Amino acid sequence: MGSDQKNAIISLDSVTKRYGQTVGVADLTFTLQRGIIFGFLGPNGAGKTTTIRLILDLLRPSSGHIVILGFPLPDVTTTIRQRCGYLAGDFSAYSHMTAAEYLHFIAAMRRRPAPSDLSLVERFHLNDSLNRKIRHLSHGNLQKLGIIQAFFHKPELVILDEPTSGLDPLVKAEFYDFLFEYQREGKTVFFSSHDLAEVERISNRVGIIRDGRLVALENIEDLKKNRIRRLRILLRSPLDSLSIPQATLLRQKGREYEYQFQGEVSRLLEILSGLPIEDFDFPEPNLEDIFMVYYGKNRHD
Amino acid sequence: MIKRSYLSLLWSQYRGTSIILTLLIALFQLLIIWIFNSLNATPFLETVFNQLPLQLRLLFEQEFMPALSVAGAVAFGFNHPLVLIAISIVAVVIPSRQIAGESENGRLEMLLSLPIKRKELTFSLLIFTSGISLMIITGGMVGSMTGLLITGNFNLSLLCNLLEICINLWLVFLLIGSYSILISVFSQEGSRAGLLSGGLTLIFYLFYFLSSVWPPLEFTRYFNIFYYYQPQRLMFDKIEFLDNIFVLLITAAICILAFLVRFEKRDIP
Repeated sequence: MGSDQKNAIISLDSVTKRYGQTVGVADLTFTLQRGIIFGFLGPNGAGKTTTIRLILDLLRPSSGHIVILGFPLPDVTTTIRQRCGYLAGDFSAYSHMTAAEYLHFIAAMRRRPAPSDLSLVERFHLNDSLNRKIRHLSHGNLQKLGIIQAFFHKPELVILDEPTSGLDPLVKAEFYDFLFEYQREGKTVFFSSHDLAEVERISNRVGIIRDGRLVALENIEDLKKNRIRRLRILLRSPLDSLSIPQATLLRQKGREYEYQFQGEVSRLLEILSGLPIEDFDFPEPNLEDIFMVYYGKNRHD
Repeated sequence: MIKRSYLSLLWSQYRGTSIILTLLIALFQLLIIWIFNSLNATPFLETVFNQLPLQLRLLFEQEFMPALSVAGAVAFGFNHPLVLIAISIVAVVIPSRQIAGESENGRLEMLLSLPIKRKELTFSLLIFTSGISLMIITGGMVGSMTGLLITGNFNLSLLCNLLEICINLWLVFLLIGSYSILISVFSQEGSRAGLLSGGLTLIFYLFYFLSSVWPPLEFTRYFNIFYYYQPQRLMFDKIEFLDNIFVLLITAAICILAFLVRFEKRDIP
């Protein structure tokens, strides 16, 4: 067994999930090493949640093999789950319980002592809501409860399906810091998102999925290098022609130009400095932009 | 095979309904014996029965004439639709909600992401449903015994027959719970699974009475769960008790086995 395989925490080999004639995910093959934050990026319906449920043995693959923490699924699922934490995309808890009762229930199910260390609760500002019935919690507080129950037993691997949905920007920032600290303890985080900026901000490694197929598996530096940016320029006066190397003109309306650009930003800024520019900005790229890069590449392949 | 924390969760969800149903059934059984003992309606009922058409008289004689004694009143109390409906609700609703309903609202996904085997969940759920049915039936038994004690009709033979009726009734509801859990594993919605299981129980109940009055349907009785629970006959003729237990247990075991096979393979959406 190679050291890469030995250090692997999640390994999928040609995993396909079909629902009748529909394909949920097709031929997924990737291996993730311990101690990373892995961002799983894709639009809604791309197959992110299906992949997560396959990893958790909630769905059974139509073909292929999955190995988690060195154990093949579905042989020792309970051992694996004891060492994993999970937050579902649409987190739902028992509404008749209070938040504190729910955490006690999860602890009992994990055969762990009730969480006495309330640092996570304090960190995510859930103290005041701990004794409130879950049915009375706001969506944001429910999501915080979901995060706490996924992490409180300090699992080796945490799988989070769109964990920041419903969180306000301050809590999001706190959550990102928490993930970095968690990673520094040697733990692994697998999270899905459709927010490119979020994935870029916190991941070491990124998988991009679309229509059930993994279109890219890259280190974050490579993703940033490959990414397509949008550039919007407002000139002081319209020019007859404006050509920017490595950029494609998407549209022009009067003095406003919009380009798609791929390459070094410093080189672009040099070019822009020679133009009569009144204003410019880089609008947040959407997933379609980044998919264009990988789709283009895949089609060539 | 049993997860205590899951049992605690179920108890916290259903304790209110279960306690209320137990008290209601206990009170109902007590009232039946008390009312029977207070009113001497036997001569009047016998006159009414004698004026009914033959088929109806045969049916009512079989179902109600034994009730014209204290022992019959006890048996009648345990065959009353109110009692059967109350326990059916528990046997149908709990498995349907916990499998199909929780799957529908995403909580089964969260639950099965925790270290619990699907078999553990199944057995815990069955133990809980059986336990709650048993609690309600025991409530009824306590109500009957209290009534017998108050009216001075209590004796050991009656107690033994009562025990047999309660065990038989409990197994009927174990079977209802078993086919409810089997139906719920094929359903994506809790309400749909509950309706199907409840509807099936109602069909069994109606067919049982129809087959008593309409000879062409008589052959269906052997395929009907209520044929294997006849408290009036149990009260006065014990021969069928073991046969009933055997049929009900085997059928419940088949349903549970089929559920386990399907649930192990089922995707949790």
